[in-house]
Amino acid sequence: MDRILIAKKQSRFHDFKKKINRSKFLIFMGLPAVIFYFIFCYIPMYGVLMAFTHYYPKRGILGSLTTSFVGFNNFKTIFNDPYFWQVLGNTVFIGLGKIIISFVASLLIALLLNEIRMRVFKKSVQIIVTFPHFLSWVVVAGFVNLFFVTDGAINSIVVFFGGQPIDFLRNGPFFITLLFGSDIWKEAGWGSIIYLATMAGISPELYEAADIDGATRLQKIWHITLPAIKPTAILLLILSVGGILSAGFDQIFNLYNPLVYSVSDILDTYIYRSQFNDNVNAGITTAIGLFKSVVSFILVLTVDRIAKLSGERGII
Amino acid sequence: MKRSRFELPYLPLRPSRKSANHRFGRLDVVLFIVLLIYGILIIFPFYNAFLISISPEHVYNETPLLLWPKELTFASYSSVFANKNLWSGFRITMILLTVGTIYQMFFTIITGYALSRSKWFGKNFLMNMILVTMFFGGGLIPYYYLITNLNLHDKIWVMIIPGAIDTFNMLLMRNYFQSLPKELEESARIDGANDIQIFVKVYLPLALPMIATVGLFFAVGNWNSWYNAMLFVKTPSLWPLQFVLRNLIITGASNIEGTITSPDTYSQGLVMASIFFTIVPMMCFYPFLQRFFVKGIVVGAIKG
Amino acid sequence: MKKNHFLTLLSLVTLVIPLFLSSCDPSDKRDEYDGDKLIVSLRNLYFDSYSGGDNYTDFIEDKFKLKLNLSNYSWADWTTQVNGAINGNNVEDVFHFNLDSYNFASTYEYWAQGEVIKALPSDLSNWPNIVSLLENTSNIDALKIDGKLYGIPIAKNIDRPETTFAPFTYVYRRDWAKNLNVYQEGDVYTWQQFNALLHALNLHFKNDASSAAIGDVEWGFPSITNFYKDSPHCFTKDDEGKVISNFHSSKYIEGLNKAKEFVGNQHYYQNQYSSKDGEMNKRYAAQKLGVLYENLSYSNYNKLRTDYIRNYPNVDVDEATAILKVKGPDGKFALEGAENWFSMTFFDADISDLKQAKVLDLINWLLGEEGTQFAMYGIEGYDYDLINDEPVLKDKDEYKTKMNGAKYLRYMATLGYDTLHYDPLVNIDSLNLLNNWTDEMSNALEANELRIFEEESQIRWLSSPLKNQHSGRMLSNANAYVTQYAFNSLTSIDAYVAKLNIDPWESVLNEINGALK
Repeated sequence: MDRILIAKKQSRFHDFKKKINRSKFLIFMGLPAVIFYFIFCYIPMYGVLMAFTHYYPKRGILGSLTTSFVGFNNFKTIFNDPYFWQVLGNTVFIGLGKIIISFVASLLIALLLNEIRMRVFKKSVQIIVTFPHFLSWVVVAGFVNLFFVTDGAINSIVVFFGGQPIDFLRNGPFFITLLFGSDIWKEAGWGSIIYLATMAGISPELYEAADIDGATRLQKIWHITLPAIKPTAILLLILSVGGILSAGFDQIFNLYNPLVYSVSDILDTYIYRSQFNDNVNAGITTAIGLFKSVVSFILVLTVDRIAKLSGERGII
Repeated sequence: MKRSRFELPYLPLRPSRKSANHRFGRLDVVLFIVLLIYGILIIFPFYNAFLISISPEHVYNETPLLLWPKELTFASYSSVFANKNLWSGFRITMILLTVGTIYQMFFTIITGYALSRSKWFGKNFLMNMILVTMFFGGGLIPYYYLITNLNLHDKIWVMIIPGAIDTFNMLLMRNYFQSLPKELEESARIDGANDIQIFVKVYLPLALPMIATVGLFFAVGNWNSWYNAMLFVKTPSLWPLQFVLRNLIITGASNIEGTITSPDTYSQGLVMASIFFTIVPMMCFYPFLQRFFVKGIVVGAIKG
Repeated sequence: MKKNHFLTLLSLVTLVIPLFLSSCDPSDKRDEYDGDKLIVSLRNLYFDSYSGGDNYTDFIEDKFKLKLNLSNYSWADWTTQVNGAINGNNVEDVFHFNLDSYNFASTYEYWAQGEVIKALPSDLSNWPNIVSLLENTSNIDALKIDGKLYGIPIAKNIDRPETTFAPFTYVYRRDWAKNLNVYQEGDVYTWQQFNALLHALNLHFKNDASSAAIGDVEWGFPSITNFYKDSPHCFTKDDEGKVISNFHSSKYIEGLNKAKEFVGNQHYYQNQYSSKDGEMNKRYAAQKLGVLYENLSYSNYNKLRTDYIRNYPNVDVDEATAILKVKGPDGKFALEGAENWFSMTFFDADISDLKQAKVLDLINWLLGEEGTQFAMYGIEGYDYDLINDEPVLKDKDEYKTKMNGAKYLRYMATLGYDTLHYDPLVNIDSLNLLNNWTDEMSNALEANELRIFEEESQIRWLSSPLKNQHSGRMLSNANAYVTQYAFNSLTSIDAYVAKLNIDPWESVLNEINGALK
């Protein structure tokens, strides 16, 4: 009996060794990735421990943990600061708004492009609308500043029609509109590609059948095109929900100014400014960052679970 | 007989309707106009910015909404071309583009390939490892600390090394490799090829379209990078182009070292000229490269 | 995700953390030598476009047996770069930072107690020049924590310690004033005359939208409030000595309304508040402004004049950059009070005593007679000759093209105002005009014709939790609301006050008043 057991164990170990041996090449291929992610993503993760200390740069993280551990006090300070809740509100508002607005805009553009028949026109419009995606926000912010400054192009139109120049860049509600608007200008074209490709993959027989049934264009869109892109849309939505709390640091960082901090500060810009300009202790700013990561993670898990429950394929 | 895989259909258009009862209706005209307007809205800022960069200040002050050139001046551009920071930025970005892109492509492609193969020891571990990093990060200060400990401060490598693998591009490669039929691998093994030969001789050539796409994504990313430079690079001669541009825009190009301020130059003109300095290369290449980007996204995301 | 894979991952991460943590402790900065020279890294804002390697730094390196690694900050990112370096424990051995006066106490204290910066030795007798510099530094005692000084305040005008005010004032186009018949003798204008001047300039620019009567340097808007307010920052004291908010005070609001009036009259350039750094200055230099409010330090004032000479040689530069003296509604001049130092040079806490001593040696020498002469004139026999015991440059134009590194190194301790009269490259005309102005204002102060407004030092240097946490933001928000009100984004004083009250003024003031009792 024992001999059979030993033989089984040996053979399992032998199989295991064979398995590793067979994967040797692939393991070597994957090793750089392991090292890379470990160094640049996982090692910094231990930095979240700073959130539980009053951080002394000279003592390092371990030193601060042992000598100035504060537990959850940093979180208490944050949650007691009314400005934090304002920033959080801004982040959710801007993040959610961007997801919805860019979704609608991309979808609209895709729908419009889908209906065009002239190949040359379609192609050139695609090239044009997808180009801004490849600009950095530095450049786009330069354009926005150029157009919307009080003596700029847009205000010259306003003045021409007899109005007072509007201060777009420094006036809260207008600034938010600019945020959404410039986001559409830059990204909507690129976002429409996926939808467009999906639409192009729809079998033409469906449309012909609808023609026979006498459907109008709108009906065709509603009943054929939209359902076909639903899985893709849901997938993209799930992917972007995790990023709500990020809400576009690059864009806001390049566009904002002190007069609109109160409405356009998002978590990332708040952390950046607190850390680098206002000299807030690193423990506190890391705590905000930790809060952000944890909440994003929970959000993604939740949305993914909801999607799975309603029958779509999730990503986790 | 190997079917060539280089010609994937470009954004497959719906085959032209054979139905004769399709007329070019009113709706089509509306669609055309709407898209035309949208297209113009996109182009117009570039056009306007260009006009401003070649116009003198009083023209801009009178009509900020320039529609056609009224008076020409090259003062803005000559000032920009005399700005040595922009040129050194250009040089640095070129280095990032070449060295950085190749470096990034190498690691991303092999990781993507490895993850596309089924069932090897450690595959799930690596996949999960990467997945977690997509949602959870350490924050800026630990990252800063890491860079300090790696002694990367103020060196050009700080803009290259931390970018070795981009998760999104890696997933694109992985999906592409997965979409290639398994029979290729099996038939190659039967022919006696080992792992390396399968990768290099079979899969790599087939993946060239996607590799081109991913390479272009990295190239654009490198062209636009400025954040790492802002945090970690203090020597002006190591600043990349976009970072120099950002400094110019923030300070209105008034008192940057290297800018000769004369009465002929004004901040908007200088800023616009600098912007064009940085985007013109991209504008030239983009129309030709656009299909690679589109192809890549389509194949990668839809089949993924 | 399979459960066991997740566990493997978790265990990997948790296992390695202690390993890495223990290896990541900040190391003591051991002294390193290049040959027999001690390596020192210095970073200063004013090392702009200078990074050593000239004859002069070579001389210094040889003399003091130091190897200097020099780098500079950029104006735009100074705060970011310093804070980032401190938190990442990557500061240079000697670095330079401006502690904003409203956040000064907390930052300085925070750094001192966080062991970021090294205290100066208690016994400074080895460095007599530094001692005399510190003795003449205003409010030096406020800079001491537990009796120790944690940095060297960089001196401004220690040669004229009676100058307790900052040179933030107006330049104007005297020639235009004369042409418009509103010129007043001696450039002294009463409030009515000042208003008349602006009015005349405004009419003159009626058809030119890009010009305006007056412009303020970006950080100084609205300068008009100087004639009304009691304090340049957040806090002031009321008649009973209680600390109140400057921005809520009736005096400030009166000034604010005046600023709004000026904006409404289009005296101010309409894009005043959206202009970038240095833009107003440029506009004045491009003849687009009649009056400019600016920090008239020697370098700024000289640059204005040099720009005019270069760009408009037909204009009389004295007439174009005359310093304007305005008496407010109360009949007095108004100037912001200032310390006679600006920003500080700090030492990293980790450097050895030896290294600090050597740097102090260097600074001491640079402040002394021999060092100053070296920094200003260069090398004897090569750049200058001693004629009748006075140094005379051999070839001024050639010397101008060189970068004298010693001069830049001297900026670690002083901004050079004290040696302006001694500097061979100084523009005597600009310097004399500024000195004349300073003298006039000092006389006015003695004759009680000058009102200096400043935040009391006991408030400014109070460090308390709520004040540290909030006052920085309160100040920048308040400035934003002021601008919005002046430019009609906020249409009533009530709206302005309502916006101000979003920030916790009351609790911060209560805390301050409690602490000052």
